[in-house]
Amino acid sequence: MTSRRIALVLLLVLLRPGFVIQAREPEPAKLAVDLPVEIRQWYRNTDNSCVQCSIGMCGADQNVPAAATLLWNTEYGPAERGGAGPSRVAAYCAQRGIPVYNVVGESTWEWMRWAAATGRGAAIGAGTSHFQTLVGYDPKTRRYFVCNNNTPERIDVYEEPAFRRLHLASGPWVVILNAPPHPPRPKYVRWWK
Amino acid sequence: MRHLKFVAGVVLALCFSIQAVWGQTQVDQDEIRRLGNFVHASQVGPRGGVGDLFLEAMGPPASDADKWFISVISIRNCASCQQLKQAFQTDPWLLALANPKHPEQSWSHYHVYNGEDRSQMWRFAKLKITGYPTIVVQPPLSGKYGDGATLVYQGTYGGDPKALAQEITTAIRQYVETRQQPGPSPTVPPKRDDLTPPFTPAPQEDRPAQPDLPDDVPVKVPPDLPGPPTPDRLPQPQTPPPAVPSGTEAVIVTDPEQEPDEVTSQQMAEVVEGLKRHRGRNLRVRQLDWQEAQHRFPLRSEELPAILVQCEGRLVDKLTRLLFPCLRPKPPSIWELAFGWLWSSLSGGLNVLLILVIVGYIAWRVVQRWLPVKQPQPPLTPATPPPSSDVKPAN
Repeated sequence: MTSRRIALVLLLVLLRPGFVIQAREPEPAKLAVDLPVEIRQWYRNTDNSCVQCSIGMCGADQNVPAAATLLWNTEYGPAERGGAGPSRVAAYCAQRGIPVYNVVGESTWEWMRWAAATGRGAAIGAGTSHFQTLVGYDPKTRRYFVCNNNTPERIDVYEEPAFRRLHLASGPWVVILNAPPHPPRPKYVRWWK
Repeated sequence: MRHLKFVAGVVLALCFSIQAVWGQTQVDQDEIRRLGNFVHASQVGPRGGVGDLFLEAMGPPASDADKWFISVISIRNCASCQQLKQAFQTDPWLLALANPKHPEQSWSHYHVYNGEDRSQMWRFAKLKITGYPTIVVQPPLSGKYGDGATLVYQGTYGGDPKALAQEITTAIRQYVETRQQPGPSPTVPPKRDDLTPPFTPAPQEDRPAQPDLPDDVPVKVPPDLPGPPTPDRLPQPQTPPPAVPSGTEAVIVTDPEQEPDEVTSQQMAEVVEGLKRHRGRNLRVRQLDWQEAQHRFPLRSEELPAILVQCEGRLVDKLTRLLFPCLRPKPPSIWELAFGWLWSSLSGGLNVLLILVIVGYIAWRVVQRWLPVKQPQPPLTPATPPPSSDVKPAN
């Protein structure tokens, strides 16, 4: 009887909200945010600046230096550290000239899927009082690919129900850069033959 | 009364002329500029001919994912780069292709990349860049015009915005028309040359040591062709490529007047070791003085010491002293591999509490099961007296 109870408890642990399935990590070039690991690691969260880490990662991906340099003192502005809400994000984006969609409410799901479909990342509420970066979405498998700035060397994969719990655990708020997505990595093809 | 009619007529004429000037734009002049010299004979029936595709490509994109990509790679202190960026802001021919100030209205996704920005230039590692600014055009993400990674146009800026715009649209037109052409007849066997790759395929690993760049790809994509392109008529590069060392090498650039300290030297050694692991143990490493390197590489003195990675004479990576602390490749340990999932589950505070509760419960059950349990004592009963020895047995 004891072993059954232990097994049941372990099963509950595995099925807790936000459980990550470590599916085979997709090729980085196929994700909306295809930054190499070395660059994602620049945005490791060390001081509760998860919002700026996530937006910065999107800025690096979409070549928006004002957003990519949020965490540091640069010509684009002083370092923005610590926690943030929609109003603070709107304030420093206006100050630095960062064009963003600052979305709160029920429409965050459609915005997130739109961002991934158009090759953009999204800084999303994910986890308890935490922000992460949505780096991709596969509409066929309905899987979400998320980079946690606590572990930027890894891409986490979520099924739809787990992702919904993950997003709602933080609150329906996403920040998407209103800038063009990055082009695919170009390669030479003899198309004129 | 006549005066009144005259005044009314003038007022009405003024109103119509004002409306014509300030009213909505009724003609898409940007699309006209993009099409250039183009004659399309429309016909009854399903569309999909060669002209139809180009016409559709030059029209307003159906969605964000249907926008072509125009990327400008520039560097600092480059007059041509500044001229081109300014031209994209003001010249109507280039504005028809990209509107930097209003991305939502732009026909294409327009980017300006700094050729010295390490956070971005890894995207263009496979490009052969011979001058700045370099303009690159790629198909949309939607896949409607093929793989978005295909390089449809690559060229430089000669100072004429209209000529550049026409080169870009001509390249797109050629590309779209080529995609519509039927494939080779199945009865004609392909030539042996088409089956043999013009390069050495990289070994199957995550990142190939050398880019899969054909040796004879012209810098200008597509090449200038008066007629249908054939392999014999591909233009050769105007100037022979300079003699450069083959293979991949790491060039360590230092300033003799400012030798790196022990920590930096250690970091550089680790970076070189990581490069060898990543790009092969045959990676050549050599030293170069700042006096010589400043004329050959896009490097500033405040970035020293630096490690430059060259492949076939082309600069593919630039690692400066500011990045050394971030580039300490460390393969994951067994501990991290085995318990990485457990560590990620502990990242949330609520999960820690839950785990503690579970561990406590399990520990309590284990203690209950394995500790010796005291047997309950039976209730005390009065002792039965032994038989008395005074009682004698009867005879």
